[in-house]
Amino acid sequence: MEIEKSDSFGDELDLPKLMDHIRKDAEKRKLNSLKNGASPFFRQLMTQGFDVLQPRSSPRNFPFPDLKLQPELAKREQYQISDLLGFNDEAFVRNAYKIILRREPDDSGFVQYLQHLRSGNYGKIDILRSLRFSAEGRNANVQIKGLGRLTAFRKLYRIPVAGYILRLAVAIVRLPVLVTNHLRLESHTAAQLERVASHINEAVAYFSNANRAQAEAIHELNDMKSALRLQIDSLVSERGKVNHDYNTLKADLFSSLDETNKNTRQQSQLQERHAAELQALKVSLEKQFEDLIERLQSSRMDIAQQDSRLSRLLDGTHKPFPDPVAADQMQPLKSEDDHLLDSLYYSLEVALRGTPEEIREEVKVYLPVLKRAGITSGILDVGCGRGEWLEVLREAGLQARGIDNNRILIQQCKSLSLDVVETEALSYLRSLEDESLNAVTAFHFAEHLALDTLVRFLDEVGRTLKPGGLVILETPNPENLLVGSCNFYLDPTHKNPIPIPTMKLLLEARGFLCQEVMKLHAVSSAKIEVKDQLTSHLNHFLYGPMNYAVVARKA
Amino acid sequence: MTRTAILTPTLTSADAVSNDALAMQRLLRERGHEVEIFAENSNLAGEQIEQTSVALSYLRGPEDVLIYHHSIGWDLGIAIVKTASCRKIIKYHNVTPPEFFDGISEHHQSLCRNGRSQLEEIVDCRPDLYLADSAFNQGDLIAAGSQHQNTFVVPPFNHTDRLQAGQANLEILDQYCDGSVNLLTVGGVRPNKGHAALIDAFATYYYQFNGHARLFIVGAENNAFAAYTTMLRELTDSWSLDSRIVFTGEVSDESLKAYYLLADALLMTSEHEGFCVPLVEAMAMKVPIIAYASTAIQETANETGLIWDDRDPFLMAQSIDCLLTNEPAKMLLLMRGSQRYEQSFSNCAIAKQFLHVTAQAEFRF
Repeated sequence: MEIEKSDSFGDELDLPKLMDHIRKDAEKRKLNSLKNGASPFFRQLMTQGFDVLQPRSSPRNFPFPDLKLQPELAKREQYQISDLLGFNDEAFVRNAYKIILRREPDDSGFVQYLQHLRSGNYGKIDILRSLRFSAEGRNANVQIKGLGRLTAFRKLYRIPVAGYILRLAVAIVRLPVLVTNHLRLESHTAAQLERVASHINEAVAYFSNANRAQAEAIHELNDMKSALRLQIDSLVSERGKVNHDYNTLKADLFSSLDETNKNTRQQSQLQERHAAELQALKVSLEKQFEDLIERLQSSRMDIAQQDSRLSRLLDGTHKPFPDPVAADQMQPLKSEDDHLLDSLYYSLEVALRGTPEEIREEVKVYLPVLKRAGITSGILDVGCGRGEWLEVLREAGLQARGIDNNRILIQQCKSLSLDVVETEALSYLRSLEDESLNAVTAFHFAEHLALDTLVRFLDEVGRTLKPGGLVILETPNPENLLVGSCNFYLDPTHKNPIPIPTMKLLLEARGFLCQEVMKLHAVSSAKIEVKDQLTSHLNHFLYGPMNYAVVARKA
Repeated sequence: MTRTAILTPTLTSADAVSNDALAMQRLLRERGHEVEIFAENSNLAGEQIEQTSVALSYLRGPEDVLIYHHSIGWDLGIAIVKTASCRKIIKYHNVTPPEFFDGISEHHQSLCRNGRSQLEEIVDCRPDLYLADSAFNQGDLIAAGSQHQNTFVVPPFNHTDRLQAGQANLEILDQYCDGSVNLLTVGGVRPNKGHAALIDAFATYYYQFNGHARLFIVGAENNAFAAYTTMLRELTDSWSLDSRIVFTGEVSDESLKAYYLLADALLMTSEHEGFCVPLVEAMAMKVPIIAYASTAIQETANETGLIWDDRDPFLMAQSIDCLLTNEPAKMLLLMRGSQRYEQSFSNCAIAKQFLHVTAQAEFRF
């Protein structure tokens, strides 16, 4: 219930407003109870009001009271005759019996006395006397004052003739009294009649009221009956609907349950199959892996064995021989010495130079140079390594030969069917005739040579190239600070870094014409944002080309 | 020195008429008058009650005063009123209409019928002063033939001050102070008290608003009204509320106080009240009042409670709910009730009215 605070907390409580709120809320509650009542009985009770069930308001309906025209006779020890003479007709006879004989009248006596009384043959005193002085009456011996005197006097009436005259005389003497009695009787009768009439009127009104109330009650009961009927109908239909819904829901539930069960079964089968396959795969992989480990282990052992054997062999060559040994006898041992680091270098090449694919891509840059010079054959690649450049040349249809003194690398090149010779560069060049080559390429070769060897190498290249032949030398670019300070030394077989001007100087000093310097392999990622000269320089020195190549021509 | 005889048929405890008669005696004695109470029956210990047979001889002369408390048919009382040749005051407490006892007690029906008809006999004796408990009773007196100029309203003295000052029965407090909403009605279990409507209203509150509720029906049960009490018990059963409706029977002042202290509201559904003392007790004990307006109830409560013209159980139930949830409204009603008690119904206030009225009527004791 909402009562505004100002209403309740003001100086005065607004009682009518509060009661109005309560009345509205009560009506709402009553309506709600009809909608949501606990039972139809309760709803009915609330609509029809409590009085429908049983009358509780006052005054109550009780049977219409009896009409009593004559007073009740109180029980006493002694009676005056006037007590009894006040009654009339049936009441008189009944009361006379009750008082004198102390019992209700028997049927025959009652009828007989009543007839005498009504016919006028017997007066009331006659009847009283007859009862009082009957055997039963004498036995009961009830004192009725005045009856004796009157009865004695009345006995005289029974004397023939004289009795009649006496009665006549008494009647004449009592005439004024009789007239008064008559008048009194008349008014008494009128009053009694009035009471009877009003009683009848009251009775009629009472019964018509009762009838009306009954009719209303029947009407209300009928209303109640129809309301109940409606309630029952609606409940029955609700129940039918609920049953239907319940069955549908149940069927849906069962079908979806079936489907779920099926899906679950399929899923679990699938899972089991996957698990089995995975297990098999795992077992097979584990086996393969173990095989590989085993093979790797045995290879390592082999290599270590070979290595140690070789070392021992080489150690032996350095000890003084007891007898002079022929030079040709020593040659194999000597050449073994040269190949001491072959394996190590191969490892370095694999680890540092890059993958063969990467190298192949990188060296394709020189194809246009050869093409421009119109060179298609007579190409010697010095320090051919794994033969990437030779492969590129072969693919481009150019004829070339590679040389390298690393036996492992040469072996690899041979496996690729490349034209290679395992030899030392300077001695190989020396074995060639003058002006027999069109081009000499040497990638990452010059930095492995001491200066005098490099010079001799250039001189041999100059001798073996035809005039106009090209020499292409690629080497790490020490202008890149990382290369110059660190990366160059990653390969411990490197001698000295050769800056571009040095290289150009050397070539030109040995009679070549420097045709082009190709700066290669700049770092493409992770550059400092260029803001000024400093950042530009930094970028150049840190992220600039890591290699360069000088293309020179024999004059 | 004049003598005053206070005449009433019966003196019992927990009876409004007896309380009025006793307090009137006290007041007049305090003011130095010689006052005796004459009653046919009494079960009061410690009060000196005179036999009615000596009432007439007690009153010696025409300046003495007879105060007759009329509330029921009493032939002897009427005979004394008719016979006494002194000044007379009629204190009229109203007589329950005999229809209420139809089919319940012929004896009471006849007493009440006599009581009603004797009012006219009393008026025929031409008393010097009429005092009515309420304007409603005053209307009855005037309808019976009394005159406006000597018919006044004086509320009945009551023992509410004793109730306020006395101790409460702690056992009852302990037993029922359990968080339930406790509702109360006070008054003898008599057919005019409308208990059936009360039980219906409580059932509506219980089933529609709050299942944690209890109803105390405090008041003496009389064997003569067995049909009525049986009907109430059956009604209680039919609502399945026999564990929630407590018929306490007659209780001591201590217990009555405990029930008032426990009560969240006093419910009054009586169909006939000449004044209704429990409303005054509720005002004094600061218990909010919810009632059906009938006879004198509306004027006694006079806007200190929620009084409804329609006898609708939903109104009763909603009112209980309102008073339990709307604390400000409840407090204002309680303040009004408390003020009304102090100003109109405390014994001190009633004594003032009594003396004022007698002075106004130039009636000297």
